[in-house]
Amino acid sequence: MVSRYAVKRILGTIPRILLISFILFLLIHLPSGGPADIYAGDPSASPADIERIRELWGLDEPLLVQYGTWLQNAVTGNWGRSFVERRGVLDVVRDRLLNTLLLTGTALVLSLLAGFILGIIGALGTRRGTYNIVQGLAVLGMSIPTFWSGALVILFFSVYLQWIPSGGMYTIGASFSWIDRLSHLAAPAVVLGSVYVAQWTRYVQSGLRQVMREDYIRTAKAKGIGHLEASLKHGLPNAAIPLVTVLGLEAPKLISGAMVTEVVFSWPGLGRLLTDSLLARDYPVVMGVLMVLVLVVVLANLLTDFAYSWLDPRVRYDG
Amino acid sequence: MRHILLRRFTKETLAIIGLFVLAVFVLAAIFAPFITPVDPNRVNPREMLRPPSSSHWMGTDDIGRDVFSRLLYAGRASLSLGVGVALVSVGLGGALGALAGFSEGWIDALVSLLIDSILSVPILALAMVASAFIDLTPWRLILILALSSWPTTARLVRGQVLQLKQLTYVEAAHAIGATRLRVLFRHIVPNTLGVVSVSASLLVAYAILIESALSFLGFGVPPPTATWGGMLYGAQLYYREAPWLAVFPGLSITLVVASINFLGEGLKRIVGPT
Repeated sequence: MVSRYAVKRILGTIPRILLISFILFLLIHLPSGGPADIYAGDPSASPADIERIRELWGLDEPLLVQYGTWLQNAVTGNWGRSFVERRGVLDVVRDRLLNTLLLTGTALVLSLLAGFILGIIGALGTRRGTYNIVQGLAVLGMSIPTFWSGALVILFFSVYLQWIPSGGMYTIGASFSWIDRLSHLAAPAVVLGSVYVAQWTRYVQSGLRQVMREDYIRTAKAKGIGHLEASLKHGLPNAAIPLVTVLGLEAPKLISGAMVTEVVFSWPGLGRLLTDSLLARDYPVVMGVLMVLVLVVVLANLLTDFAYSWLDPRVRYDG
Repeated sequence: MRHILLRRFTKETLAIIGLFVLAVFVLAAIFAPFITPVDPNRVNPREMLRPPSSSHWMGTDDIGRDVFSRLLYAGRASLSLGVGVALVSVGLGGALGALAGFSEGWIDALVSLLIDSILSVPILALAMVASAFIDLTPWRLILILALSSWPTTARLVRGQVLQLKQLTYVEAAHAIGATRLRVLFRHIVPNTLGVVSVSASLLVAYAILIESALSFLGFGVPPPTATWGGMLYGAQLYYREAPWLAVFPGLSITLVVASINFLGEGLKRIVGPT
């Protein structure tokens, strides 16, 4: 049952991956003269040279044919070569993807941890005031642009106090050490995660409040367990279910946030790579980064679906 | 009906504060020429990177332009861009969402596929790629941001229409012989306006955020047009010597976006089924 559901969901993502890859391909190749334009301004390249390059890269073919070739290659694992780095796009993108996932993952874990702790405190407190303050902070949190809060963090902790390095993943020239790595990771992860703390808190808090009114909680309490134990043991798992859905929906926004945070802290991830390769007109890399982002988002959505159906078997709506 | 909504609104303290702060920014943007006589684009080489003082409330930037004056004019650009994006995006998303939900069948399948596809790319990445390869003007930027953000509204409206279609009063309208178009525009569309207005207000805030992120990354509207994100982009080189260049535009973005979000959240509670 579960596996059939899983296969169906996975196959269901193929049409949208195809359509978006086509849209992105057009977006990159339609404006101006396309990739061969990089050399158009170069005085050392004669019109004949440019013509040769166009032919070599298949740029004289109709766009639809070019897309077909790209798709065929992409499916077989050949994503083209970077014009700038002169190595395979997949190799270039892979390193950066891991860095982005490290940053995003750390930020997510930190913000979830803080969100759960604050949410439980907020829900168990009976005062109406704390509830409203948390709801207010949630909205404020998602309104602060990370490129601004990041800049303020660098200004205060790096420039003024000199507690943390101002960017990068490690100290250049120094030998590997965990402390060095962590001190570079801490600031961007906290900045990126802080946007979400209040939001998670809000979901945990309102979810827990709602669940605690259910009959089965009353039953559990009637059987003699305390309010705290009832909340943590029976309330929390059920309150967390809506959070799973939100996590999946927020994945694209989280990645957008990570891309900006990377640029602020010079973190060598996909955001930096996309910015650099757009400026350098490195078309194969641009397309590669975009497709990896699409795959990450689709995968996040799938995982959400699976987690949801595992946590709450009532929603396994297959047929 | 309006009376009830208004009374409910008076209980939303945060939304009222948001409305007030937003009003201050909007008025400041509209009456910018009366508030500050200084031309936002006037370069003054003798007064570069001056800290805030009585003659320049928020200091001057790297080529001696008055930051306060630029902030007001940038507010015009950022706010109107946000509103423009929200209008186009909600119009498009609302129309396509209603079409999909109402007609079902292959039209629904097609629109839903398009919605899912566009939602699988982070909006920021989509907007970066779209604006990197064309000569960007404010109007084109509005179009780009609207074309990448309409699916959120479309999905909401589609869901709402699907739900409304099942209700008895719609069935009754069909039964007494109303045409399909009349049912759609007279009975269904008006009932989606609550969702749509909430969506629109939140989109204004999101568009301002995305635009400033784009400008910050260097893919925004080219100078001399000042936007808050563009001002932050220019501030990057001077974090050490001139932190005020980064503080004020960032604060403006945060305050405006937060106000709109508070307002939107308030609206959500007012029109929502609670």
